[in-house]
Amino acid sequence: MRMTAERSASAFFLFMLREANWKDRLLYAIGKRRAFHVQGSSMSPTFKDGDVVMIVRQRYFEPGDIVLAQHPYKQSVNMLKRVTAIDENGRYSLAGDNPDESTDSRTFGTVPPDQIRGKVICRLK
Amino acid sequence: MFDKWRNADLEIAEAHCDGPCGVYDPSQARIEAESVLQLTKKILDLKAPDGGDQKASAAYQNTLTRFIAIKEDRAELAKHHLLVLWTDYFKPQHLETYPDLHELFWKSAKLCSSCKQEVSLEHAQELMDNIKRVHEIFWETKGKDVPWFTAS
Repeated sequence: MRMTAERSASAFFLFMLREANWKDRLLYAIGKRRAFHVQGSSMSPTFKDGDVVMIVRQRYFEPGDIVLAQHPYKQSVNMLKRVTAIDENGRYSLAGDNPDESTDSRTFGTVPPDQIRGKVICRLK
Repeated sequence: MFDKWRNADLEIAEAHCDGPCGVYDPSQARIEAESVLQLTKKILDLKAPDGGDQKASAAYQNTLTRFIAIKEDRAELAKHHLLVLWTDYFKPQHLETYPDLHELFWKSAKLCSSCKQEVSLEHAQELMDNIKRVHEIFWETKGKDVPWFTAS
């Protein structure tokens, strides 16, 4: 479902990420999920540097989702950001939960859907 | 099997800004602008040797050239540090509180260029005054009371 929304970053902190369960770990083991090491503090306090998160591929995302996106100017860089809005062209606005230490859509603009590689569904560590 | 991820070589999900340290400080621009101000004073105070003393003339030319070269470099560095603050640290929400922010940085960057082109105490001092204002705004956005000071 596509929708347009604006939410303040503080409201997102209400969204709590669950811990990985046996089913997530099983799906990871058979290659249906991917795990990533978090580096940096732009998603603090949701994630700390050193956390490990699990990603699932999907086509559409909603405001509030934490996603793994390709950096618009550095193709080899995967970044972890939160979707804050979706515009009428289906492009995503991304922001860090810690705006003082985040480079995000305020700097590089909106991101097309094909640059979003998956959604964070749980925390492994 | 359920802990397979522990032994995996995990990919990195970056969650930081382009300057991953997140450390910014207008002091960098202030130090360079102070050098520009001091070198401008030194150039204006430098006395050319009288007569045809070739050795004194060479020493004068050497000193003057060094002063000019260093002033040029320091003005460029001041501009660089100001542009980093402007484009990387300050965000649109800061403009709501400080609507003259773009004007301040734009004029400051132009003053850096003027300080290279001219030997102007007035413009070098104006650059310092602008950086003092940047310092005040920057630390207000950080919620810290950091007094302005100079090294010279």
